[in-house]
Amino acid sequence: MNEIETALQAPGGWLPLAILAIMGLAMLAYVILDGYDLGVGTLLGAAGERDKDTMVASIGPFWDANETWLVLGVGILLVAFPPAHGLILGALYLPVALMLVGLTLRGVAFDFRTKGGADRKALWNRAFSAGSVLASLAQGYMLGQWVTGFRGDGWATLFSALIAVCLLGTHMLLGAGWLIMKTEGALQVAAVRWARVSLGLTAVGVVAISAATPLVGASIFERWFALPDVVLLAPLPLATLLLFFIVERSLRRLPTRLEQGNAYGDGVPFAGAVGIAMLAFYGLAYSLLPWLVVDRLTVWQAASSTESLWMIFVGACVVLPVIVGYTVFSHPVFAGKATALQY
Amino acid sequence: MPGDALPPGSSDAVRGAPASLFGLPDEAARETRLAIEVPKLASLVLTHELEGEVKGLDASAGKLPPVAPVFLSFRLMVGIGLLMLAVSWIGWWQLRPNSRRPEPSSLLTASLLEMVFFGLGGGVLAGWYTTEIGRQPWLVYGVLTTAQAAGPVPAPTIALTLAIYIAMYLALVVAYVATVFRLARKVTTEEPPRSATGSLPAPRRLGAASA
Repeated sequence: MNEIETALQAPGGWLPLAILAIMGLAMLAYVILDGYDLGVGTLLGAAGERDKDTMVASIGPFWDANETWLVLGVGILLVAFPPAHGLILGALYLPVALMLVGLTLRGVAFDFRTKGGADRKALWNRAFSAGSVLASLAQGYMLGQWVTGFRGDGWATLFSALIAVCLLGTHMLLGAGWLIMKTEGALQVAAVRWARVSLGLTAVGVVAISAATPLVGASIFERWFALPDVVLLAPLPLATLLLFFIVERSLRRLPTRLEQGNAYGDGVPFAGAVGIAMLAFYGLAYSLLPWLVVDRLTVWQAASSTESLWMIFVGACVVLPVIVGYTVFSHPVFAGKATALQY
Repeated sequence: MPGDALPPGSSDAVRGAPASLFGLPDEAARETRLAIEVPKLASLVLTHELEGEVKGLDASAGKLPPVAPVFLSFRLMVGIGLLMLAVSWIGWWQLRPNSRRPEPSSLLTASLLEMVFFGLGGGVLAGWYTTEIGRQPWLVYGVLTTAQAAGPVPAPTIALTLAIYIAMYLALVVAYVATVFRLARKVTTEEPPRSATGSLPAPRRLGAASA
């Protein structure tokens, strides 16, 4: 990592990295936060009619604030790394368009499922879950394309399709974990069942990305498997494995415990899923840094002028604590089990 | 300059140029057919002198947008704007305090609906076309041309997404209007009576407070 160490000496070197860190934080927060409400939206398709209102109510106070992280992340990409923004969003044009269609359908369905009349409610519920599925699949496909450096060959497409399904699974795991915390009764038990299925999909996705990234470039392979590093990095995959084990065990025990009216540990699956997402994100960041587009564009090559970056940096120092603040604040305010839908 | 407030319909520089209120520009023949013109108005607006010189389209040859869409959309925008102004004046006249007409006329109701759906939508859209097409071939005026900024995405892909967006928004507009009407009907049929006698208080007319 010599190039990174020398880069840290001057603002032209460390500023792009600092802003990349902020952008990374926004993307991680987006995957986790919108991940759970996209997951709840996806699971809406599998739920009974009576549970759907409770499920929507459980994400009601949070979902649109969660989406602001995506705006922040892509906004920083545009102003701080314009060439990378052009390259990435140009290569991902179609999945981005489909994601927007999905997010639009979801956003509209959120209100119209209650305001559009009882005869139309089933239709809007379908739009809600279809929009969630479409957005998740599109995001997973984009992740797969980005990790493989937009090569555009058949293998990369197949890999991206696999990641699309797996990220949908990860969102479902987050959503199911959320429902286990936020609901009671039959819905809670169903959520445990959904979480077990999606845990498998998440595992396939983590393994696939871990296996594929070292194969994308020799430099990434060396970074993971050169001798001192492979030992120092071992805690990362081991901790991930441990989290999978903990979540699996918790999901196995929860149904009997819930039957006895014992809600102990109903936050474990969600916390575990968040941990898995964070570790996967960290591993990916370690693999790909300093590339914004693998083997084509580094953070420094793509960075705007230092003056522009200073402005963005100062702006982010003001805005970021506010967004983090209301996100942290809103969750305890609406803590506890979801109550009946009112709006 | 073609992006100016009143695009002149002629190609050569003219002193005391007229403004065409309407016409059909013919780019090949470089003239405006069926033009209705106000003498010297273009010179007055653009140079603040009756005999001021207005540069023709030839002055910026090679950097011109397609003339006809800009010419027509600008006039459509101004026309719709004037129409909306007229509707507001008619409405003010019909609703004046000592008007003999007790309720707003159906003409007014229809005009109001048109202002919302056709006027605002059409007028804004036409104005938008005027600026966006009028700026061509520039995307950022004088800095970046549209051709320089165009991405690598092939045209059929863009056409596909445009079709998807249009289809989705058409469906959403239909759903939106249906929902608005449903909610409005719900208020008129389900709202409980507010006064003790069991009947709704008479709706207050605009401008009738002191009458």
